[in-house]
Amino acid sequence: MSAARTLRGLGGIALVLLAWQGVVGSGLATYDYLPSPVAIAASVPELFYDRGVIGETLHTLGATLAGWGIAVAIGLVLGALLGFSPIARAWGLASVELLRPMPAVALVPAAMLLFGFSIATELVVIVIPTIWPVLVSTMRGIMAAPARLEDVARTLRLGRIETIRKVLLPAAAPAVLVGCRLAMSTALVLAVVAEMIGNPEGIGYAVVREAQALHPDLMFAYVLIAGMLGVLLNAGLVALGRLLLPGAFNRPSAVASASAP
Amino acid sequence: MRMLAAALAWSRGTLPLLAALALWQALGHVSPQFPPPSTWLAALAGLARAGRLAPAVAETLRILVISLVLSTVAGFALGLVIGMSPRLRQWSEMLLEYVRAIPQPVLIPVFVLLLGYSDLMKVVVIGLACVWPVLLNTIAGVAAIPPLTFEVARSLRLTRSDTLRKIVVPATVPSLLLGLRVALPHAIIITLVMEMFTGAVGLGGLMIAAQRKFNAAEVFGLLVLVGGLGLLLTGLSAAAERLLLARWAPRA
Repeated sequence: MSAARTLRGLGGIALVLLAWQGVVGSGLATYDYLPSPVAIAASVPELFYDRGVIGETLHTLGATLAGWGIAVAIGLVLGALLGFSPIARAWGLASVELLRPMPAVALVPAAMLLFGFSIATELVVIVIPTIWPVLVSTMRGIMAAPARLEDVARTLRLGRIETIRKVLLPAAAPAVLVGCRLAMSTALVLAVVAEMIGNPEGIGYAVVREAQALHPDLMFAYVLIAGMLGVLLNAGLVALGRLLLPGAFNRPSAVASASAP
Repeated sequence: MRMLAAALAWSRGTLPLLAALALWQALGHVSPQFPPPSTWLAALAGLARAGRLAPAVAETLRILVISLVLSTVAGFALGLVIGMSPRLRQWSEMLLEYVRAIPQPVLIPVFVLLLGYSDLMKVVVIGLACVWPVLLNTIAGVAAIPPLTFEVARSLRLTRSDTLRKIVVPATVPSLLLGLRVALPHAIIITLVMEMFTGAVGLGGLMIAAQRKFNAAEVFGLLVLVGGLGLLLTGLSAAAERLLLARWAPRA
């Protein structure tokens, strides 16, 4: 992103904040609980002195990363199995197709029943739905590897394992990375949902707590922090992808980045 | 005949799921939190007899459809406006990127506080969550129209509204449909979260009520129902997309 584009992007954000300040400050907006950006900024020190925002952010971040990690591991294994083995697809794919459209959050009440208000509830809620994007993109990535590549592998007399390791997995890697990135935004959304309803900790719970205590300035501050967490996680994953696989994200796919759970 | 064979071949794949459910049923009541599948159906039937199931399904679908339609219209219109102006695109880029990154469920308490427990709150919350795929895809779709096309429009002296109607909209419909397909699951999810969080009438409200009563059979029954609804809606949207794409086929 060029410097001029960055400046214009920041300018757009500044304009919106100015307009927000103007609307609230001039009394045009009549909502009781809509603080101005200045009031929100003024509440930030309170987040650190009275609220433990660092611990709350770390809780949400940790739960998201842990849930994502577990889901990626499971999704990779199952996706590879379904991608490589036509038998596994014949006898298992339909189960995946039936389970996948299940709205992820419907698991929250079931998980709460089993694990109560706990981190276990949060992890279950994060992990199960986060498996799907990884599983599906891994499977499709492997299946989409050009047949030519397998011919090359045969010509080179690579064994089955070597073909998978040296030819098919690298061919599938870009698709897998896209799936992992999608999975990260899914994981963050579900962590927040779990915290709002099932496990009273972290950023999700903090927003609810401040809303119920009628502290709209603190509530908005937490919402903005949640957004920064989202930006940070996405940027981190893109950087990781560039490191592991130069060029994988060169073609930004609006569809892929627009999809969350 | 071929279709029947294909259906049979597909249905083999449901065996792991069916086997898991059968095992669960055979094990019976291992713990009160894990009631066997047969009790789920009985619990659902009980809810239906009490007259609570149908209104909940109807209300969830009503708010879902209203929100999805409004947010799609808004997202498509805004996407056309932003997409057609490179300047606007650059100025709004970071803002959109940031707002989209906010995990949308945290907006539920915000709008409950601002707008109260109203239909408007529900539509705003669901709309804000599912507008992104349509909005961003539309922007990308307009941006992908080759500049030459616009030069042709200029040399044909098409007016701005004609350019929009005859060139931009037809070229963008496939992106819109793709965005809509991504938006639907978001819409279902955020609708359920909103209902769970506010305890509103609807399937999410029923689920959270069942959980608070520790009625595990109801929780699992509703889970299956919601899963079936998700499957049905995604199937319907895929069919609608195929139908519309046949009409608005993307031209290479």
